Amino acid sequence: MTLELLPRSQKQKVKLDSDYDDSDDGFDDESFTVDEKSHDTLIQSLKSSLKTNRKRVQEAEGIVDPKGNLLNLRLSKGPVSDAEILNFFDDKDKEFHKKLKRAVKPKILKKGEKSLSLTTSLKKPVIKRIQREILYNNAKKDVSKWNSIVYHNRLADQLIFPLPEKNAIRKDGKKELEDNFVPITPLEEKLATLIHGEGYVEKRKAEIFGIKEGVTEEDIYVRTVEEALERHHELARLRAVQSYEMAKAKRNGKIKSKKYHRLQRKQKIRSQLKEFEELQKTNPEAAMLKLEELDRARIQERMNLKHRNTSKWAKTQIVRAKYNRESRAELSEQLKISRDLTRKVAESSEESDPDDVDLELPGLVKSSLDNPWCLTGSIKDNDKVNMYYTGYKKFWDDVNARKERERKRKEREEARQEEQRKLEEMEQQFVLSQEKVSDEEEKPLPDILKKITKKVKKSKKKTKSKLQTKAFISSEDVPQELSLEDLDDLLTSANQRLEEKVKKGIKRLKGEKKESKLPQKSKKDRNRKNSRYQDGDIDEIRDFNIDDSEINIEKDGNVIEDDDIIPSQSISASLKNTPMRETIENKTGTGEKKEVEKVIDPSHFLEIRKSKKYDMKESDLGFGEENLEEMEVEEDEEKEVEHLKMIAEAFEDEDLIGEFERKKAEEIAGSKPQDINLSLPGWGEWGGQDIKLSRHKRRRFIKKAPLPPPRRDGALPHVILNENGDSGLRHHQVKELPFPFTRVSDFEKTVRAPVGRTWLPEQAMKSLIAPKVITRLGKVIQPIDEDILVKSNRQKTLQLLK
Amino acid sequence: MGKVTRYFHVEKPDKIIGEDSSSNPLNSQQQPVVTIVAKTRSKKRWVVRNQPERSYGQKQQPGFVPPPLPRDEVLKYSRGPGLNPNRISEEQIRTGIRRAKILKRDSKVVSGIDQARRAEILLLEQHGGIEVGQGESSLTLNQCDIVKQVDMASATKSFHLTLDKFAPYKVDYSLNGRHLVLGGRKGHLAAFDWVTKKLLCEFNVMESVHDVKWLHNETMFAVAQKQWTYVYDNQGLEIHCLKRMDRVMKLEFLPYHFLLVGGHESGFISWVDVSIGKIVAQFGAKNGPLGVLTSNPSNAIIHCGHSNGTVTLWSPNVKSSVASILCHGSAVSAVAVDNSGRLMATGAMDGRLRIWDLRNSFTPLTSVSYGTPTAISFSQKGLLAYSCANATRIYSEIGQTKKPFLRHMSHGNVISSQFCPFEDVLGLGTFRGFDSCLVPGAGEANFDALERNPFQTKKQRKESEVKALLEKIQPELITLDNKLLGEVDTNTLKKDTDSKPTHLKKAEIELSHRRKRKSAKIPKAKQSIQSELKLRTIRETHQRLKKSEESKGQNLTSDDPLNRFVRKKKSVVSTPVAEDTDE
Repeated sequence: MTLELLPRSQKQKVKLDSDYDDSDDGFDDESFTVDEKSHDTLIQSLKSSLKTNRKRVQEAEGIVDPKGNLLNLRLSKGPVSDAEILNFFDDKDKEFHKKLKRAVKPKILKKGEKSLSLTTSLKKPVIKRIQREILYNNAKKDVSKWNSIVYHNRLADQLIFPLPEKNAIRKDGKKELEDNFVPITPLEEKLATLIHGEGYVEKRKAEIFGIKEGVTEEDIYVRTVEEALERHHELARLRAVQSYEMAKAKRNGKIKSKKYHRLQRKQKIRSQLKEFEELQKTNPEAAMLKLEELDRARIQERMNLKHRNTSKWAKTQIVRAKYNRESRAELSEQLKISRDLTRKVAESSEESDPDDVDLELPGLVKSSLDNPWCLTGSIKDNDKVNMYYTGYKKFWDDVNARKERERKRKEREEARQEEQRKLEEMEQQFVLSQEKVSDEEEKPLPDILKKITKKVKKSKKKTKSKLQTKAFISSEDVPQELSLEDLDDLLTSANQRLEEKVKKGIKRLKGEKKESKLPQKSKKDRNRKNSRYQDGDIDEIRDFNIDDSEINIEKDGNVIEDDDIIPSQSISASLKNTPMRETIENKTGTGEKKEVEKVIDPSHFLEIRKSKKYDMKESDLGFGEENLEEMEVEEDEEKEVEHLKMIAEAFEDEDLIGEFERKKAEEIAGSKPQDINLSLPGWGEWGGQDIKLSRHKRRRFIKKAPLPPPRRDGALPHVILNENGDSGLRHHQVKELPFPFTRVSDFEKTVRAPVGRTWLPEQAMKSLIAPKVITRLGKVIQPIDEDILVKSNRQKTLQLLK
Repeated sequence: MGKVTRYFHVEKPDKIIGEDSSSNPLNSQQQPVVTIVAKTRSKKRWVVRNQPERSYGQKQQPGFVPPPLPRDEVLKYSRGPGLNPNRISEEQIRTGIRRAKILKRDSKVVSGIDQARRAEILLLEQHGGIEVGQGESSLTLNQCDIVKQVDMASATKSFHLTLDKFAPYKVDYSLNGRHLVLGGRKGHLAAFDWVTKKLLCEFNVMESVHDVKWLHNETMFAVAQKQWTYVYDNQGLEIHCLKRMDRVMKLEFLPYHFLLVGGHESGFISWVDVSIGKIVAQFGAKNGPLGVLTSNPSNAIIHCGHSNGTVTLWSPNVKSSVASILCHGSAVSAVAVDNSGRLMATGAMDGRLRIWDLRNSFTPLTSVSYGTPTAISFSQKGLLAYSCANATRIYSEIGQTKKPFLRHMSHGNVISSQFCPFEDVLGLGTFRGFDSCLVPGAGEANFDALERNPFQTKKQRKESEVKALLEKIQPELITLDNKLLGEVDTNTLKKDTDSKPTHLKKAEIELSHRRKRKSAKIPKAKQSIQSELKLRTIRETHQRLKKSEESKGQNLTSDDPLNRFVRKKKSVVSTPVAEDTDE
């Protein structure tokens, strides 16, 4: 309806306007040729009409745009001003003018057509409705431009508010900051002049701000808002970096570590010295100044009692030094430093480099005479600079030498440790080799070794364990054929070799240590051992026997091993012929129906066949006939085995399978829902005991229970599964399907994966639990700006039109 | 952290058997015929062409997309298929924006799984193992051979403690594998750091000790004594006496639930929450003394072996057993469940060891027989130690093979065994003391330090204790099928929707679950036979009924007054049926 009405209403409106137009010149023109005159007259007429009918125009609040649509220019501001509309029509675009004319001109004015009467104007409510509709559509269009943004924001993983600004503060490096630093405050300016010399400040300012000479202060001031903003950002950055630096300095100042400060100090001295050396090459005057400074520092250090071991720390160290080697060393180091510092410089100047001798500084030569340090001792040349310099050099040389010494000491220590480790290794090898050689030494030798090593290491720790630990030995390595004599020889030779080895090792490490003695072994002991390894040998043989049998089994496949499990196919194949089925039938006596249910009989695969009954090999149990003699099986062990055997025998005859079947049947019967009997006994028929209900009554009054759902263990004859096993879990399950889902399976898929560190890598977990919205505390979140929208071409042209 | 289980990094050349063995007795010691080497598991790292390999911590280049991983490698981390963005329609998940959000989250889950696989690069430790040359068997190896091949630190882990006075011994390693507690039947208790052999405490309770168990960390252990169950701290101080756990024969501890489980001599099972000191449940199993009991690490169900050859499964929430499986024709002597909860091993007095598939069919996979197993245990990597008398056989991939790959003979008969977590070590409690033997490839090489840390400090221990308490799983959540928690209770949902009045609009909901309910099915061949049998029986009964009716009808003569009550039959239809039956 609206579409139909729209052009009409336009016509109507324009017509209304034209009605008030007194001069019809412009509209009467049939040739449509547009000349300047006619154009002007049209504008004039429109102007006049607007003047007279301002109210009407305000009511309409709509204006025709070039395409013939109604355009609402000023939705929010209220009535349209004349000037605006005039501007709109003042456009010199002739084509537009033409179009406008064409639109305005009624059809009747066309060539050859007869004129008709004007149509009646629309009624007021209709017009209003149309206007409302148009307004609604416009508003809708206006709001819908946000659609895509709203969609993307709703879908976004994370939104951070306030939205990032265009000119965010960036953190500059220290270097960059230094480059761009401009002294502004008077203090800064003064400092800059001190550091960089006169004229630096002006130069720098000119560089940075681009101030040319002759430009007044006022010109420097920024004028535009953008510049001011930029300036503001710059300052903010500066402040930020300053605060970082301050924080850093504060942190550094708070460090209590003495070691750190010591290192720091040393580094400072070193850098100063380096600087001095450099200055010497480049700027001797400055070098002199520096030297003096250094000298002052040295004097200061000399005068205070820093390295005299009088401080609190030193006193505690002295107390400790009695027991602690480290503190002793540290104390001596301190003393050495103090000695170095207080040593007369004249002595050290002897060792000064010959290159430095040539350096002459006449200004200082005189003063050397009144220096008491220089008076005593022979001075090669009276150069004071050299003297000082060499003094420092000496100091550093000393320091370096000390370091060197320390390094060497460490190396020595390391070497000692290495040796110790080697010894240990050797011991280990010894243990292994001992095993290799024979198992007999197993007991005494390691004990001795332990003792030795304890001595060597001076280990304070002793195993407090009361548990007797013994090296685990199996003695299957020695062949059977060896005679006792051979063995004896072998052992003694091995013993000797071992002894030698150990002795050598120990001698090498600690010459002063007493040589250990290896006790000779008693023959008895050896004999005992021998018997042991016969036993071991037997073990070995027996084991091999088992192997053979096993291999056979492997080859034969299921035939031997698997006799208890008849494969499923064979069950089905031999279904008819199984004797078990018959027996069960007989037992239960329920006829054909039972036969169907009992297709898979547990007794088939769980049956223990007497004929092929497993004959327990004695060897398998771990003690063969020979073994039993040797192994001294304890009484309770025997009892245990006997007990097991007894139980096995006791249960052999019992019909466990039958019992299980009965149990299962009971379970099934118990879980079945019961029929409900509503019949009244004796009602309508004879009452009494053992009287069966008539068929009619049975049909009428017994409510049959619904068939139970199929049991989970229906196909598993050897399993009873509790049907209500997980009824308790129901409370914890989800009972409703949440909204966007219409399928249970879909919902279950979305909750299939747990969220947590235990199940997912850290990053994946974090991405899953990331907050939807992040806001910063105390930050104002501004509403979204229209600038964020991508402008369409149409909108751009409209803006231009405005 | 230090290395955990890299025992075998030295490859030694093969040696020829039997050379000069007769001439020189010393040479005959050269026994090793087998090489033990580190199993160098080839780690496939994805390599990007024309791009330098990134070091850890380096930022990814902006346009960089890592190549997709092979499907089977990601599968082990997978939690099942997610939503398919191409197939999800407006009807399935309403409103565009919600659907988009849900799909986005799902893609994050998928990428998390992908990341988990890629993070495997960080698992640097390799598992140990034994590689055997051609024509050789690892069965010939004994502890001495293994000890010779391994590095020194590992060699110290093979040892034997002779403790014959208070034997036999029950053993238990702490959860992080660092500490060991030994409980001698005659009252001897010793707890120590078994790696350094540092003793924590050692004392005699002057009462018979039936079982020992570490609690959630190495500060406490529970001891089942003659009368009651006691809890001691690592100094040997008695902290608690649990009088309601009396005459306990076997103890188990569920670390994530903080439940101490005891099998009583009276046939009862009891669950005690050690974090609050309350008995959670106590049921009678009604099947004789409960000396054989173990826990399923994956779902915290307790498996009890009984003298009637069954293994019953118990949860503290159900008064009767959740399931009972007829495993053997004689009394069950030992039970063990593997780490993933897939396999159960049972041993019986008939001298058999059977492996069972626990997932849904409860069918036996293999059977081995060497003798009555007295102790069975699974290692972290799925090795099985099966001890009968003084022989312990160790199997790898027990589902597939029947031949052990290692064997160990102890001095005394073994009564308890446990693989040490995160170590390639098997601890055996025997009638002569304790044996610690090396089993290459038994332990998990890479540990999650936030989960179980063998090297944890005291502070870390305290922190992990608090965390574990915060993350404690309530005992109500123990079920046989622990995936049920992630499912919607469709029964209640259906009831609710059905009970709504008819004039209300009902939401159209598809109730099928994500996970298909797999019930054990009879193989197809059998099914056909069954259906055939069914058909036959139906036909037979039908015939019988027909005949009886006919005979009834025949009994009444035509002039019988009762004849009028006989229903009129449609003779046309009935006759061909009768003919059919004759055939």
